Amino acid sequence: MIRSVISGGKLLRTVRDDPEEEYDVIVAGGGTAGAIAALVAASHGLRTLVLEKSSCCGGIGTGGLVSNYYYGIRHGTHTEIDESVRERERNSGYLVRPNCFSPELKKIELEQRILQAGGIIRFEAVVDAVLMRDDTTVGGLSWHEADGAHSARCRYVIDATADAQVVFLAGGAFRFGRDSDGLAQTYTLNYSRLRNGGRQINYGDGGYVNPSDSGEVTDEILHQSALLWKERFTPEDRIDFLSDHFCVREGRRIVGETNVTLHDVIHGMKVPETVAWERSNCDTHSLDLGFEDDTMMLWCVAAMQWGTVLHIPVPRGALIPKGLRGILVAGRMLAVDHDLSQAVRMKDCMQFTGEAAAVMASLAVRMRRDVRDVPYERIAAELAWQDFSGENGKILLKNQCEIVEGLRSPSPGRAIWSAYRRGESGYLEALLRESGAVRAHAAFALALLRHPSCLGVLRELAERRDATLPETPRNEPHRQEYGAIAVYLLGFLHDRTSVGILSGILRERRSESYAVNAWNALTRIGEHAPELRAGIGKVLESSMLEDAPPLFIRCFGSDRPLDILNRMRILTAAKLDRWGIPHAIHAVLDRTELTAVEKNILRRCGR
Amino acid sequence: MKIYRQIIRGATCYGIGAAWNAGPDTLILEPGIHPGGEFADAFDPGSAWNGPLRTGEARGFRAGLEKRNALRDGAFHLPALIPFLSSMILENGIGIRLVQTVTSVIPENGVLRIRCAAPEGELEYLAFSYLDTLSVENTAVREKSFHAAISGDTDALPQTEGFQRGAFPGEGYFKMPLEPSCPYPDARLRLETFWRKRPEELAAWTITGSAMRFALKLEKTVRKIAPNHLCVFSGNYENPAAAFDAGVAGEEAL
Repeated sequence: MIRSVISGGKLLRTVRDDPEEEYDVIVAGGGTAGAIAALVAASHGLRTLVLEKSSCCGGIGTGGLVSNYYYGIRHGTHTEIDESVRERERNSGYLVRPNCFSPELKKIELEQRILQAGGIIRFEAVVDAVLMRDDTTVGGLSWHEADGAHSARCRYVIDATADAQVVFLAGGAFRFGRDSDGLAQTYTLNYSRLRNGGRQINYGDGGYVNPSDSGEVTDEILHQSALLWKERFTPEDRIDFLSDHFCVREGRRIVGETNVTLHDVIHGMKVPETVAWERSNCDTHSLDLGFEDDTMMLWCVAAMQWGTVLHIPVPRGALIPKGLRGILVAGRMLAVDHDLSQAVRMKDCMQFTGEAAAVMASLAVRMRRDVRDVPYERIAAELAWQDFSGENGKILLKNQCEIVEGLRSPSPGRAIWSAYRRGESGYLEALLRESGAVRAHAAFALALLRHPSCLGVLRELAERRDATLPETPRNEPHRQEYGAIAVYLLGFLHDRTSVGILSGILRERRSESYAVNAWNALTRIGEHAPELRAGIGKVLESSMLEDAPPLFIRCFGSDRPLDILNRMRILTAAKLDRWGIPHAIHAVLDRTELTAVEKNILRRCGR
Repeated sequence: MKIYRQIIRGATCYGIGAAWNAGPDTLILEPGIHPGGEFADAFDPGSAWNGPLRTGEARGFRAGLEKRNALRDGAFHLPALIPFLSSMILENGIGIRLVQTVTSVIPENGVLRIRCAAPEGELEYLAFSYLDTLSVENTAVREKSFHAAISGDTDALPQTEGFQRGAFPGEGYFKMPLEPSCPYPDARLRLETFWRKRPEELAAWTITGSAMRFALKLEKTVRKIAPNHLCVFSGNYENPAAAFDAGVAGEEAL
């Protein structure tokens, strides 16, 4: 066997003896997906070992205290478990919150079922290396427990570490975060608390962190925990306990044999060989949405579709790391893009990916084939789910009349998206000549179609900072004022005429969405029009110097305002460097105390 | 590569006290995410909070908890411990790195090479000395228990063995003794079984959560592994302030 590890940032492989202990499947991580994977694998008669770094199974849904479901499709082994937990709750004397299951009793239900199925669970076990049969075939794991080092061979590893740790240590390819600044979604430190006479779980977002960078994790968790050090603790408003699970929405995502994107899903593209379905909205917790990519901005902001529930297929290939054999993943590190990862992370789907991975591994072991060579029909036959492939089509309005009616309404999102997908512009241009909100709605639809006729209306909306908020089914905090949407779209369309308007908006710091969208728009226009870079550069620089006011975003459910000014300074400096424009922002950054997250952005920008 | 004067395994109360005492060039490597986890994650509120403390720092520790109402009449509001220690670490610039599982400590040319499994892979640190505040090696377990956080809608304090009160009315902990070999699944199952048939005076109390680690007491608190490698088990102290006191005093240290 070859011991594979990432050491000092480099892949290090050394020859070592084969371990004696052997399993069919080792599941790394007994969390949301891993516990189900282990149970299903053991139930299929496979010799199964689970390595869990905490002291319980179930991950975010048990130790992490997220004991309810967010959308999803109730099917599979985990629904049986949840029903058993419900039974277990009766007369148990354990706390059960409304519309939740008992996380404590689910821990018990999961581990007892795994043990009864013949699985072996090692708690407080941290994977430290991967054992490889050759350069590309995973053949076992090495891990550390309180009593020291252990290792075992296996036919398949299911990486359910939530952060693709096994794929990472094996030298597999992965992606992380969004393109603009490399950040993933916000994290949460959950805790149980007593407030207003009832018990709640605090899910307040803590900010951004890379869970695979222990420096960032340390900095963020200590600061977030310190916020709970109150001036005075009272019996009425107090914490019960803090979860020891660091609740991360997005970590490493593998590069898979098949990779799915939000763009694929919302454009109705067919995905081959589905093995699981997610049903959720694109539940981004980023409140600085202007740093997200165009797909996300067009879908969530311009077309106001944040709250729209999608049916998202997870193909077999999204569980198979490209270039590696003997390994599957289950859980949120599937081969999806950053945008889609914000939907494909809910517990229901994650548990089902555990089941899918176990079924795939089981067939591969029994048939003595690589999982890629197992006939899809055999996999599908063992996974009981419905085909939801047509559901996303129902989002679209049927015809022009319905679209126009939608555009005339105060909740125009579905009509804007339908108009974009329909692809015609004539009737939309006619609506620009009308008065009222329909002009703005038609302009947004035309902007998605990249039709220049909308520019005049967009400039008007931006110039007057139009404060209209669209109505959406959930009226979520991601809604942006029409003026801010217009600012984003002016950048999307590279409208050089609007540089003056955008510069004013960036300077005035009206709100995070206006400022970030204006920054984004100006940099995009500068990218597109090199002759404007000197002027735009001056505006960008002046808004980022020492006297610039902070720019706060407020995280969901949290009292912690997050100042994103330094992050914008770093990105601005990188942009101006690339444009060859001298500036003083680096000097400001040199005098500023940066967080670990900010330092890493700076490093990624080449400083 | 930087050579630390001392590396401390565990952001335990003893470990933080020792780091406080050692000053700069000391680094704490904590496998989890909670400082003070030997009490906070074990749901062990400690005992004998009014006992004597040798150091001014530890008396300040206790007074800090009392000032904010987290320690009242010798009863502790345990969830305050993690925020309190996090603040202390940040305010005092104590060197710490979370999510670091030490996998080996190897003497090498007069220093110790300490390897960790971390999210970014294998990390190495060098130190002149190593203090392990979590290790259970080279000694026997004297006492093992599994605790639950419980909440009651009553002001009456049960007399049932194992009940421990928190600082506020309706805040309590239940301690279930175990044999040293008992694993987590058995401990949780036993707690569930007991709680379904709990004594009447506990009927008004509900389990809000069970511990994230066992509460352990070892036969030996201090074990010297090598001249520059010491183990001091923080969980052996009666309460967080006592553990911090011992860490600051450094009487067991090298």
